[in-house]
Amino acid sequence: MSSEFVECQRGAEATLSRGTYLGKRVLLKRRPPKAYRHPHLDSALTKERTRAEARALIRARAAGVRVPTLYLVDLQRSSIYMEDVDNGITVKDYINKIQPKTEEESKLDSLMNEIGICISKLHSDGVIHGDLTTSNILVTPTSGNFGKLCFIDFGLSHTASTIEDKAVDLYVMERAMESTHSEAQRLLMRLLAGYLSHSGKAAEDVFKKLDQVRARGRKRTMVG
Amino acid sequence: MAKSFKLEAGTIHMALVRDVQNTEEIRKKIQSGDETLRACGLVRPSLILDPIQLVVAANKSLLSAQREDLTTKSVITETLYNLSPSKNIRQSLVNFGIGAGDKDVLVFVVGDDDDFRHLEAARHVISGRWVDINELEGISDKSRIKKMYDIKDTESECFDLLDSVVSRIAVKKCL
Amino acid sequence: MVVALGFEGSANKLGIGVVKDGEVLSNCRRTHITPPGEGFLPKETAKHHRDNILDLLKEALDVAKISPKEVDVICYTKGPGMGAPLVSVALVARTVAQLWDKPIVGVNHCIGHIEMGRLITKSDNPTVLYVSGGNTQVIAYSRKRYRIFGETIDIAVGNCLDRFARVLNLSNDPSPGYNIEQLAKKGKKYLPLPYVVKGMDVSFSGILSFIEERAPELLKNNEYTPEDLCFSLQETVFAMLVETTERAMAHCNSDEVLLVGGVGCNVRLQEMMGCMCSERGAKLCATDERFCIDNGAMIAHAGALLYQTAGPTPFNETTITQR
Repeated sequence: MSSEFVECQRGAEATLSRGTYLGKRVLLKRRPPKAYRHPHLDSALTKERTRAEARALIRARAAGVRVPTLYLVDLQRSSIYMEDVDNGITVKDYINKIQPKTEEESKLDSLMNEIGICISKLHSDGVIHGDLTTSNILVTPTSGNFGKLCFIDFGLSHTASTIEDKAVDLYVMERAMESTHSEAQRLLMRLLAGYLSHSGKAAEDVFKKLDQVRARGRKRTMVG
Repeated sequence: MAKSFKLEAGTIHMALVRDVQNTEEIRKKIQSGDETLRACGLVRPSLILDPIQLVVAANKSLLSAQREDLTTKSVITETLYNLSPSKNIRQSLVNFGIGAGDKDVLVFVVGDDDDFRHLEAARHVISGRWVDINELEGISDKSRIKKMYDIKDTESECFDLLDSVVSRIAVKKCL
Repeated sequence: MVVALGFEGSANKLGIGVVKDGEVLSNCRRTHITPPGEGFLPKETAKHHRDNILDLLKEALDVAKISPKEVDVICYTKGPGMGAPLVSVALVARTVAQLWDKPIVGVNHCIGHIEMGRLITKSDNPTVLYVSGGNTQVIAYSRKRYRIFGETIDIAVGNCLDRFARVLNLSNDPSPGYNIEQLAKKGKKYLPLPYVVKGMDVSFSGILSFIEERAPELLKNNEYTPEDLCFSLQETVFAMLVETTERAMAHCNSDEVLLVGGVGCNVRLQEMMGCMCSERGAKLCATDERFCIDNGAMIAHAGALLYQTAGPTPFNETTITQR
């Protein structure tokens, strides 16, 4: 049955294939072994990430953040069979395709706002995504609108409720956006505004920590 | 009336029977290892939203059986266990198996295409109306299902209940 | 034709090199080596550089068979690095520039590593892993400039290894990292350690304190040998580096990796990186210790490139920066 799957993406960590499983159109996410890693480390990491992803997908959904439906999580094969989101494209591709002065462009702010709200929902329920990038969020665009958001790729996620974890999560997003989008700063401001609108007072502490995390990245000394 | 679904490593056949007259008798037969019913599993249809829910649970059971990694005694009990969010086997079987007073029964057989005959045979033992599987929709008790799977309003207001339930079954034993 | 003289002294290596249009004529180095269990401090390191710099300058010119007259540009490391050593080396570079009446160029240390790596390996547009005692960065070319894709959010990987070497009281000669590498080759038993990758960033301080805390007990009980611990530490931290490098490659569709910085000459790291590259059909470009470890030639080469494209640094801007 798995022979009918067609590989559509080879990431650093996992490969994605499309196919039909249990009568559904699904994405199969597989984490192949990495020969460069010590076998103990490799199997522990692979298992841990598949498990972390499964756990986070359930928790994110419970927090009201849309994620793909799961059909099978198989630790032995390090595989997850999940919903292939209809018309889903990554936010990264979506932004890159936007033409200036169109309806899509005017909705970009509200898209970023929405992303901020979703991240806040995850954080409020203790879900730290661990790898937030515009490639790990899908939109389902329909005429002039970005449609529904869907968060994916929770392999580096963990459960935590400390301010530090939340701040680092946002920092990862910030860095990823800076390296992919020309208007990163403006987009990020909208995202943080969305986060603030949902988290309220709790966001202020996270933002304060975020400032510290940013500073830390830039002032390491080499004094042993 | 009965319907079959492909699993990764086999097939599940299922049928919905309403106004069952002899629930107690059936339960006893199963417990005593009755020849005809031995291959059949009986699920409480009020806890099932859609055939896919049972399909996902059975698929997982069959894979475990192939790997000799069943948590329970058989593919049938494993499927009932996989349907349940609880880790307690007995509790799971009580919750999802049929009870004495149940009038509706979802019968299923997990195996290969050929095993459809077990469902046919069960027709002679389970006396009731064998109806279209689509009637499940009218039987399933959404508020009980929500409670059973511990699905809060934040989730159920935003998303399809079936997706929430199926996802939880998919991750069973993996967390 | 440009003959560049490069001064490097941002950490405990003092390096002076002469590069003539991408050809390394000399690349001399002295290292400030501290006793086992001790790291190098700014004050002593600066003194080491001051004590050696004039002899080393003479040596670099002699080896290159170049007289001061033939030098076209003086290049020095502007930063990042330790303040005191940077100042002492910059001071000599500035003095020589004035004495010989030559233009001067301040060079970013990281760019020095990258440009030298590109020169030696002839790599075109690589994803760069820059790993040393003070730096851990994954750098790639995106949207028309070098960008830091990932980095450590606390200590550098080299710092982590060096500090563990101190726990084991290993010699700092030729470098603590080298001695860890030699022990690790004999390690067999793998101790699971925290593995901390956050997006493309990595963190080593948790791993260090984990192993620092447990090492004395594990060694006393004979559960693990020092070799096992070095092996486990290397396997873990290098896997993190290879993973984040691979993520950056996937992100920018890059099929070349350039490994630079002192930790870049670790053969096990090169081996793991090479393995990842071959799985992806990519190419690994690595250099040896002459160019991986801080050196003067890389500053001369990067400085010459800078001089040719942007001209000299105005004398009143020939300062240093620790960051």
